[in-house]
Amino acid sequence: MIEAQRPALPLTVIGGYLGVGKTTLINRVLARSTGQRLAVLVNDFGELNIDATLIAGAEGDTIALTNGCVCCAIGDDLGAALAQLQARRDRLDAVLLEASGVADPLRLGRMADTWPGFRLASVTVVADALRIRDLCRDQYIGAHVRAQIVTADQILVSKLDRSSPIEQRDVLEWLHAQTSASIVTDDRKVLAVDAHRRPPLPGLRATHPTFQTRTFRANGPVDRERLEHWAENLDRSIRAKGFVQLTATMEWYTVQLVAGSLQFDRLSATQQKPEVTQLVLIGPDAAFLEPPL
Amino acid sequence: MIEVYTARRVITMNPSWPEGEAIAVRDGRILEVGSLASMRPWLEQDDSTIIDRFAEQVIMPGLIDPHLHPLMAAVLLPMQFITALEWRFPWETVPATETPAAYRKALTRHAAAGGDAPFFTWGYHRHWHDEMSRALLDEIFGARPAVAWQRSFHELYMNSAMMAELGMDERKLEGRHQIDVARGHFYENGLGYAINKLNPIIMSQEWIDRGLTRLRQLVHFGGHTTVGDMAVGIFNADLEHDAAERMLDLPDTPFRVLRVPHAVRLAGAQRSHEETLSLIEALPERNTHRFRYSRKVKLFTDGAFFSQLAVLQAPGYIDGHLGEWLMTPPDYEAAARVYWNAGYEIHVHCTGDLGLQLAIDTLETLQWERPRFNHGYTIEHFGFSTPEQVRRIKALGANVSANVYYLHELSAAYGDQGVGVERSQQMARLGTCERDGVLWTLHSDFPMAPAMPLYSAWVACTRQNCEGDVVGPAECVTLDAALRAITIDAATVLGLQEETGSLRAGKCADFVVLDQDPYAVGAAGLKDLNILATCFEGQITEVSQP
Repeated sequence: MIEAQRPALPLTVIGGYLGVGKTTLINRVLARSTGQRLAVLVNDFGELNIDATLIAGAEGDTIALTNGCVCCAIGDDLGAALAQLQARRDRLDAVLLEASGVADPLRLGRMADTWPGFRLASVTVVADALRIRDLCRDQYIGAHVRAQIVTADQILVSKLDRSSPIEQRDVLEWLHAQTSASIVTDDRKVLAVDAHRRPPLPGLRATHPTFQTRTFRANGPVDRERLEHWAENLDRSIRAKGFVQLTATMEWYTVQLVAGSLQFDRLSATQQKPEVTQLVLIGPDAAFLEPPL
Repeated sequence: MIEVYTARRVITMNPSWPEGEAIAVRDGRILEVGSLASMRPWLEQDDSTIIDRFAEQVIMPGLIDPHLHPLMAAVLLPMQFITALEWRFPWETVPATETPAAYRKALTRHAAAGGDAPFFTWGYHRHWHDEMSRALLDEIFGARPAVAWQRSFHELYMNSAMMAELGMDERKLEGRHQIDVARGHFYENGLGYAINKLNPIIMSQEWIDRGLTRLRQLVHFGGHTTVGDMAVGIFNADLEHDAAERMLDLPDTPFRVLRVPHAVRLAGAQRSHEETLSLIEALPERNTHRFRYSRKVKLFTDGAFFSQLAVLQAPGYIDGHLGEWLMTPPDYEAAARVYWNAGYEIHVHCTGDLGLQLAIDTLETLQWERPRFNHGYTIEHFGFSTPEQVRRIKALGANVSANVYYLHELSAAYGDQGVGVERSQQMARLGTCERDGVLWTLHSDFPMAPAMPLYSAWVACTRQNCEGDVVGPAECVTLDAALRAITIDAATVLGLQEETGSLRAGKCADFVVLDQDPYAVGAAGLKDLNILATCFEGQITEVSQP
């Protein structure tokens, strides 16, 4: 189902190790979300502190609140949860997705980013001011916590008020030295950041390292908006070019995917027209989304 | 009535009384291993039959695989195997299909064999078989629904007829993550969707029953008289109990199954470890003669070896990716403490050396808090390890149950793309275990590897990989240790050593009949030994050859 008109919903992933304050953050964001209709995806409802008087209704894995927000339990299947949200997209402004403690929040974010109707606003990792340096040295999960910090778009430092001014300065300096992510201390700013860094980051695993070329063809003309929507949701590592005939004008164009958006150039009267609409995609195998031809 | 089986040689795997020429059995138990002459005092007291049909063969204890997954196997076994490496089954020997042309030919042959029931094949791998697609399956199978499942289980392809059969709406699938409708390709998260749709077929009673019938045959074919189901509850404990009762726990089943519950699945999202413990405490009420729970439990540290999700110590993976914790370290320790303090024997799935480190460190903590001897804490899989860790395993009294097939199938690939040559060649560090005196055994984790203990023993001795190279020769084990690993030492790791695993007076009459003497053919000949029959508690069952 391609829905061309509506803009994609911004989605913020909240990552961070066990006990750093992810749930506290989500509770606070929910409590003050007047005016903004949020969907919150969590691992389970157990820790969420939802005021019973705010609950408008519950259905399966979803709780609807009177302020327009909804909470969904993800269970094992993020895809199913996103598909559910898609159905109520008209009534939502933004999505918060909680990653479990040892999960890779960037991987979750990328997954949501490729899902039609959503785009990754930021990967936000909560770092506990008192424990972050120890956690990064932890022999079992140190590498996982370091990777979370390095790949985040922003770090929210929690529990800062429990340390002295000198300790506060130390931990902030230390964090700045570890990552190029923006570092915030005020949780009211979490949703304000909408700047996921898209280029591939060093040190990450390329899951499908082999590049492939695939060609898609269609006999009839193509809807420009549908095509643009499709392009928005493509993995950023994919390149595409080809010839299309657009429904609006019935004219032929060369089309090229540049930095995530499609550029159309009309073929002049003297140029030879192709027989069919044709798009060639180059990118990591298995990352392709079929174009709406 | 006493039955006396004579043989060219009876190998007991009991070092105090290593061999004989005959074995006397009454009511399913061994009376004596010795010679017809030595058994005279028994034979004078009771009626007896001398059975000499195995007089030219060799008898040794029934083989034991302490870690496989019957229900996972049951889902897989009804599928047609078309695989890069050879798989031997009682119903067919699946030849190695190593080229795209051969793979296509095999598909075409199975399509021509006809039928209109949905066709499922397992074992496709791009490395050997080139591209797979919906179009290819359409071309070969036409209107017959067909599915090609990839070797790792993480992806599958299906044709147009199967999509129609499952009522899939292609427009709705467009753009779904990790589903490529045009190619009929479903992988990782998209695979979950496909499996959900396929479940009415592959989890149907008819399908599972067909799979379990085959499983029963193949467990027997491998010469097993005992196996461990090392994760009851992996899909659904009730379904698994019902299926096993219906299809496996039968009067003519020639083996027993020790069941070890999957504590994480049984806990689910909500139950505490203490609540799960009380659930597990009640499981032995289901025990039957062949199917038994004991005080054992299965826990997990790090991810799957075949998917490179093992968690590694420095220097990690070449490409810098990190493995995956299946339980967070604090949660693993909390769970292990609950079962340790309740007196359970913990079997912990560990694949990487950091996963192993967590398992060892936790054991050391628990030993400090509440010392136990002979506690049966067992490292399952034992992919990557260090020599220093093996010393600690010994010092802390833990056991090792190794999947040595990793080394056979993956050592070459993981050298190039994974962890480098040094560490890939030292997967399954069993030579060190043998030298340091650790109690260790071998398992298949079937369906991850063939359930053929003699084949696993051959790999452990020769360390020959699928490309024919000897990898990490310093970690080869001796022939005797490998044969113990699939008999008496496996029984000890399962806690069944008083009952089976060697042939001595008083134990169950569980043995295999071999065409040749494994000590005479030597390590290199182990994989070519033929199992002619097994005896489970005194009942002989011939092994039919494909």
